[in-house]
Amino acid sequence: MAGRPAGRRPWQLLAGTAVLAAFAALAVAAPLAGSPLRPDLTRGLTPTGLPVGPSARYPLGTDLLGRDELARLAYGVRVSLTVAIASNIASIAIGAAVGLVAGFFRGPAEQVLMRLTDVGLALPYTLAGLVIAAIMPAGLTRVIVIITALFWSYPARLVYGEVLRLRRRGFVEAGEAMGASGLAVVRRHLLPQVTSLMLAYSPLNAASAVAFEATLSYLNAGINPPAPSLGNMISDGQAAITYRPLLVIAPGLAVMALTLAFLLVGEGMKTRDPDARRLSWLGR
Amino acid sequence: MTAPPGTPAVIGFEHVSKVYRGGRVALDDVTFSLPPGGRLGLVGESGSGKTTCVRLALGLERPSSGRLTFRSDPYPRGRRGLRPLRRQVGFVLQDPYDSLDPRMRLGEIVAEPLRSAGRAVPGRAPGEVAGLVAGQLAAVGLPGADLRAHPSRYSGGGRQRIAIARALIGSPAVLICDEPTSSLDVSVQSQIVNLLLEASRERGLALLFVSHDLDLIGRITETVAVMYRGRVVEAGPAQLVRSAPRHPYTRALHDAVPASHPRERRLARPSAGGAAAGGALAGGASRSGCVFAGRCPRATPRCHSERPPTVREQSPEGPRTYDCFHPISS
Repeated sequence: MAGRPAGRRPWQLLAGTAVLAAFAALAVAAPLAGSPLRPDLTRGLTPTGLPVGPSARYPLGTDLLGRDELARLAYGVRVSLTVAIASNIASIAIGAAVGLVAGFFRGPAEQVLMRLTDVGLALPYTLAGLVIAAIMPAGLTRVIVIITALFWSYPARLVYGEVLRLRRRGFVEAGEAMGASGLAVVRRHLLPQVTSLMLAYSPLNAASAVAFEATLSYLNAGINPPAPSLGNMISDGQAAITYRPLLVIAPGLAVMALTLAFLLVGEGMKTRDPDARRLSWLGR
Repeated sequence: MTAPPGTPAVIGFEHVSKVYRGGRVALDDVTFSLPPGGRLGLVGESGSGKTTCVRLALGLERPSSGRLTFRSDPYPRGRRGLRPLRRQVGFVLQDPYDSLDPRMRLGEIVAEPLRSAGRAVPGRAPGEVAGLVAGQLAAVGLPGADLRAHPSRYSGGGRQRIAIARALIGSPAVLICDEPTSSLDVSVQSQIVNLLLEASRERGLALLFVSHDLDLIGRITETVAVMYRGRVVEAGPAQLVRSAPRHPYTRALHDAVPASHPRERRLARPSAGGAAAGGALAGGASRSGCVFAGRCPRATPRCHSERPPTVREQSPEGPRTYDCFHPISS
C-alpha cells in the first residue's frame, strides 16, 4: 500500500488553516461590513418591529434591535480570535514557565507550583470563570484574564512531566555539569524541547479558549452587550429562535467552525510532529 | 605525568557513602584520590557504584556522608557554588547519542563550556569562538567539520569525538570519562581510547576513567580502584592489580574478560583462587560482611558476618589495598 508522499501536508492541517484564514479575513474586514452597534430602525426591522431576514443589504439579516447580523458576526469572530490568540499565548507561557521551574529546580518551588497547578486542574472552569467575572469589569481583558487564569495549569502539567523526563537525559545533565547556570540550562536545553510540545498543544488550547469565551459571553460573564461576541449573539438570538433561527444558528456555527478548525490544525500537526502525537484529540 | 608527593589531589573521595531514597546503598565508605595529571581507573560490573562516583565528582549529586574534595577544598553546595569547580572538569559520558543535545548545532555544542564560563558570550568575537571550536574538532579527528550540522549527522564514534572536543575546549584540569567506549563499535573503541590518552598526556590532564573492562583500565590508567556493590574492594597500581589480583572479585573480573588469542584464552582460565565469574549480580551478601561473600568461592562464615579490614601492602610498583580475609596469594 502506497503511503502518503513525503513532505505532503495532511489534509486536516490544510483544511483547518483554510477555515482559520477565512475567519481571520472576516475579522480583519469587519469594519467593511458596517457598524455592529448602530441599529437600522427603518430597514433593519419589519413594520411590526421584528428583525428582518437575509437580504442583499443584510446577508444574515438583522438582530432584535435591527443591527446588521453579519457585521456583528464579523466583530464577534474578531473577539473570538483575539481571545484565542492572547489567552493561548499567555496561558501557555505561564504554564511552560511553571512547568520548567517546578520540573528543573524541584524542591519547595516544585511543591508550591505543582500544588497550585493541581488546584487549577481541579477547578470547575465555568463556575470559577463566573467568580472571577464577578470581581472584574466587563470587557475583552476580563475574558482573556479569566481564560488565562484557568487554562495555564494544563500546559504546566504537560511541561512539568516533559521536564522530569528530560532532566535525566545526558545532554541536560551535561549542561549542568559544564557549569551553566540553572536558567541557562533551561533556556538552552529544555525550552527548545518543550517548545515543540507547546506548539503542538496550542491549537487544542485555542479551540478550548474559543468555546469557553462563547460560554462566558453567553452567560453574560464575558463580553457584555452591546459589544458583539459569538456567545452573547447566541444568547440574544434565543428570544427569536422560533421565527429567526439564523440569529442562533449563524454564531453557533461560527463557534463550531472555529473550534473545529483549531482542532483540525492540531490533528494535522499530530500527524507530522511526534510531540503532538502524545496529545489527545480534545486536549482536555 | 604524575604529581609530586604532597600535591593535593584534584578530586578526593574520603569515606564517601551515597544512600538513595528507599535505603538503596550506591556507595559505601569509598575512598580514593586523583592526583594532578594522574590517571585513575574505576572498574567494576553494573551496579558497582562507578557511575555514582562520576555523578558525585561532577557535582550532579551530593554524598550522604563522607567528604568530597577538589584540590583539597570540600565541594561547595548549590549550583552557584559548584560553577567554578565544574568549569575545571571536562567529561565524556557513556552514551554519545544522549549526551549531545539533538537540537543544537555542532558549533554550539562544542562551545557550550566556553559560554557557560562566560568566555564566549554570543555576539562577542564569534569568529574567535568558531576558530577555537574548529581547532578543537580538528584536534579530535574531525577537521573541517560543518559547525552548523546537527549531531544526528554523525555516527557513535563521531559523536564521542564531538563530546571529547567539548570536554577539552575549556582547558579543564581533570577529564572524567564514564565508560566512553562501551556503546561504540570495537573498531572505534581503540581510536577513542587513544584520543583520550593522548589528550591526557599532552595537556597534563588528570584522568578519571570508568569502565567495566579491567584490561582496558590496565592499559589506560596508572592506578585502579576495583568496585563491587558500592565498595572499593581492591585498589593499587593498575598493572599489578591486573596481573596479580589479591581480591577474588578482581580475579573474577579479570577472568571474565574474553581473550581473543587462543594462547591468552588458555592463560585466562580461572585459577583455583578465582571466583564465579559472570555469576548473578549482587550475590546476596549482607552489608555487615564482605559484599562479595555470596559469590566468593573462598568465603567462610566469617566473611558473611564480619566486614574485612582494609589490608595495605607495599610493592615496588606502589601501594596496594584490598578488603579480604582470604586474599589470593601470588
